[in-house]
Amino acid sequence: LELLEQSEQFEEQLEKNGGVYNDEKLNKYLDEVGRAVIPEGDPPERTRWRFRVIRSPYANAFALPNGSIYLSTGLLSLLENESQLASVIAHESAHVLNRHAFAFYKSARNRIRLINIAALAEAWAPLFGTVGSAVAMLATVSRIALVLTIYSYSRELETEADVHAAHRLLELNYDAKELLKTFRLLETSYEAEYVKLYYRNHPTLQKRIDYTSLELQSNPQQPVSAEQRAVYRVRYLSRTEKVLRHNVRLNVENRRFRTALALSQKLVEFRPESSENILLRADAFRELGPRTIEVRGEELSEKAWKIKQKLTPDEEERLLLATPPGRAALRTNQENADGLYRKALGLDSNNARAHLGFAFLLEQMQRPQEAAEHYREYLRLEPEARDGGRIRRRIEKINARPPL
Amino acid sequence: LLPALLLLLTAETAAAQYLHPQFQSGERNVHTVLLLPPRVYVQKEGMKGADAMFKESEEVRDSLSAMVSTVLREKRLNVMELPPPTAGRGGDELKYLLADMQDRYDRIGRLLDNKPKDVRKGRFSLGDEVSVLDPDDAADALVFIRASGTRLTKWRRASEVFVLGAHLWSEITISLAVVDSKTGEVLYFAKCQAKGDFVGKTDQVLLQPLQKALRDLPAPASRGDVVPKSP
Repeated sequence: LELLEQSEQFEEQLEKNGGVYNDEKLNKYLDEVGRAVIPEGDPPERTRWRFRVIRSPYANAFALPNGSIYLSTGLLSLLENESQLASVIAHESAHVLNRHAFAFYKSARNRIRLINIAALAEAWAPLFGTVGSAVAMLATVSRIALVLTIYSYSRELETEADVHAAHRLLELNYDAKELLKTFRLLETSYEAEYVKLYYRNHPTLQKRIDYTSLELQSNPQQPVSAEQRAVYRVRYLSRTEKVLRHNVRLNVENRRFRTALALSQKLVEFRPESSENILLRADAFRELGPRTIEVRGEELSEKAWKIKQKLTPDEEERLLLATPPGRAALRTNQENADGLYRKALGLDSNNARAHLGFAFLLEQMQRPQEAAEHYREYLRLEPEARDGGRIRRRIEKINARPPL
Repeated sequence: LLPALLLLLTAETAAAQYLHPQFQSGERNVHTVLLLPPRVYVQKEGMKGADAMFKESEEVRDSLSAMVSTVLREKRLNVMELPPPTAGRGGDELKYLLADMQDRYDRIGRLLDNKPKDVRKGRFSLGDEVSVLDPDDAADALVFIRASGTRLTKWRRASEVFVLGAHLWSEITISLAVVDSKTGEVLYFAKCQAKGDFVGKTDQVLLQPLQKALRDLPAPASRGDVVPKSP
């Protein structure tokens, strides 16, 4: 009951703090897919199925004990078709159906209590001579072992959810092989992020692929036709295009420029004549600034990561611009952005955000007068814009500069 | 027993403040601030582990916001608050915007926590995008507030005494930043800590540390004052 109450309070806070992405059409789509994936019958006691989107650029999904399943904007942007979406929902629904949260909570709490008791023994045991020292050592070892068993139990539950998802996809007319592709997609990373994982609550990718493949082989499925696969792909992409756009902006805001660029490419490939999609790609190139499109080897070292963590965004840019590769990358990215802004405006000259993005780029490229023109155009098209004051100040600053 | 005794003796409060050089010199002035909703996280720590306290976090958040507002008003500042977002699309957009700016502050906040003294060098800025939170240009500065606290259960406290641990009190850490609403520069940063029942007796436990944290915040120069200009 405590867990259920906490779930409700957590959701309320998430909604209030702008953590939930609200899009009626998308929610309806998720609901349709979700209801199809969940086995018929009443939901477990005190739960109700709800499928929602959390605003996070990181690929993640989780289920709350009250039956709410959250998929991140980052995850929805990474997936490629409806079968993959169904596989994620099936996996998460297994956690609710099998009451995994309760089982994990109970088990973890008992183990933590034991860890605390071990800590008490460890603190006082040395006062009791050799026997005491032995007790202290034993207590230390058992504390470490207990921590490890918490993660191991969590991996067990994850495996159970994977197997459930595989069976569900086989039962439905979704392409079950897409579950394996989903695992691989979850490992996709475009950023130079150095994450040291000592404990993992999910099994490793290879293990997941191995045991899920075994499940799929022992339960062969009628192949899904190419036409049906195309339907799953197009339906998924058209329903998630808006959230994908939102997520590109979210990645830019979170300084994950390479991810923003890769996702904007997906948008442009899906709808190449959309001024909005091209604008997002232009924005991603502009924001990429002095960074190369691909992560450079030296960025992946622990040292480089630590240095980056200590810098403000401005300092990081200055440091990159002090190097020849940084300056070269900036030039290339600016050229790409320039071409794309022009294309976006060619397709829709009233695209206010394209004028704004182009103005930022031109200001960055030391072409202030042209930038001012596009700022003015933006204000003409969006007279009520929230950032109107900011843009007017920028124009004033440009006007105050002495002519070159 | 020494660390425990020292802690008992210092179970008061601690606070530190850092000012942007132009704010310190009076070159920049703040008359009106826009108080953003604080981000507060409170957890309960017992023998069986830690649990988030969402409801209590909200209660502390509301009290904290009201108290900061009072302390700022005592310093002759005009205090504005963000209107609650309306339902529907426009309301959602505003919620997202606010969440993104709060996240942006949190990213800088990590650096601020590590090197708060660098505020004196004018090192930190959130960028001029922050001005979207004040589209009418009514405020000179935005106030970001963060608090993170742990409430210990009786058993947990007893066990801490037993193992001669350092955490004998429920404890909350609060940080506040005054950010230029046009440029996004961090003008003032303060951090304080309070020990005691900050959930049950929020006002009693938090008021004094907050007053200390905002002690060095310059009072606004009256509109007629001559403000020195930068060369």
